[in-house]
Amino acid sequence: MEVKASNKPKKTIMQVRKAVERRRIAIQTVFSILTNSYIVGFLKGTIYTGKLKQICVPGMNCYSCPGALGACPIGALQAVFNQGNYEKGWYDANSSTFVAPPMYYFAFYVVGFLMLVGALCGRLVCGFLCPFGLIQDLIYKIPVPKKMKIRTFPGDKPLRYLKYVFLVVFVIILPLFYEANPFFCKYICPSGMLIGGIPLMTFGSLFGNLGQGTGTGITSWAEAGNLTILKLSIMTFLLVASVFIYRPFCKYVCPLGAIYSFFNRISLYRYSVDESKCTNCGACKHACRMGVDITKTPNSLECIRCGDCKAACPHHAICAGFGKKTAKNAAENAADKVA
Amino acid sequence: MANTKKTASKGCPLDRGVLRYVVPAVIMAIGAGFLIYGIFDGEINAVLSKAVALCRECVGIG
Repeated sequence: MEVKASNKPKKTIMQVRKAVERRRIAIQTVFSILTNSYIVGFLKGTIYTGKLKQICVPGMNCYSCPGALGACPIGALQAVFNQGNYEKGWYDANSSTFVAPPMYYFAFYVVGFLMLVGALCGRLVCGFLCPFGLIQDLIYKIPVPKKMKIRTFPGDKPLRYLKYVFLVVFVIILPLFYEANPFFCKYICPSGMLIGGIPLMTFGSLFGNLGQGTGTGITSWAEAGNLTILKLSIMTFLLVASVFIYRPFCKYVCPLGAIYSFFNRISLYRYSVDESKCTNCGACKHACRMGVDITKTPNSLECIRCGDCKAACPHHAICAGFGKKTAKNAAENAADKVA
Repeated sequence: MANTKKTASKGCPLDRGVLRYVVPAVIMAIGAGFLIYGIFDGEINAVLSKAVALCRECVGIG
């Protein structure tokens, strides 16, 4: 049988990388829109209060965003841990009764959800499904001289452990043992400020019935105080840093990324490197904006599974997937695609 | 330059073999168990009650 030679010119590595990046941003955008599609919230400056809010979304998506249809797992985790601190328990909407909680409540539902998602795909969520990750990705695209883009700096590595400190102290210990306050949401979370606080105050000021006042679910910039200044400062710092450093929030602050990172090495979705094809050219290491050397640690805790390394590899030695697919097969597939 | 070092499985000893699938499957099963227990234990209502009540302080209003 005669095989026709393809007239299509071969894509360069750069073109492949750009295509992979475009596809990833498209997926992030679609997912962010889907999980934040409560338009009425934006029009009235309030939030969605339906049953869908029982379900956690996998990414860092503040449930006080006017458009949010689901619950943020980090907010939910703190909320459940907080229950142990409420003497009177919580109100059960189904039975119309107050439920007395145990002294310290283990968040089975939220932890189970995180284990399921984490064991399935690890930090793939960070790379593909997180709205705040998308925002940082887009900000990093702002053109500045190449010299100003910081790949690493002294203290970069120790700072990566900071997210585990935030997870343990602000998400677990303080809400569980100290007092009923979602400490991370209240004092740190820039995602809550950006996609929750600012839209709520802005749309509330513009379209809300301000006559109803505090406690009605409608708010305005008139209520902004010291807490707003603190959170605006943290948010502004991280967003400005995102112009120069790739995803500083994910690298140094995000407790959700910290949780998913524990699953990176054992999740079903994982990366591997075909030793026979790898020439140690360093293209993957150079392409990785999270600072991971995939040839040394294919499933590093820092890897957000964005696929940059895979697209950059000139020898198609890197593969990623859920199944039994070997690096060799993946390399052959990738070679076919490029051809 | 030919690659002489075996690097691919350095970071992850579970890359090959049955553990590659058993470990995540077991964790997913435990996670599913926790999730279902949480739902039937009423924890889902605690999540809902927090998620539907606008907490001004939580989003930096105040």
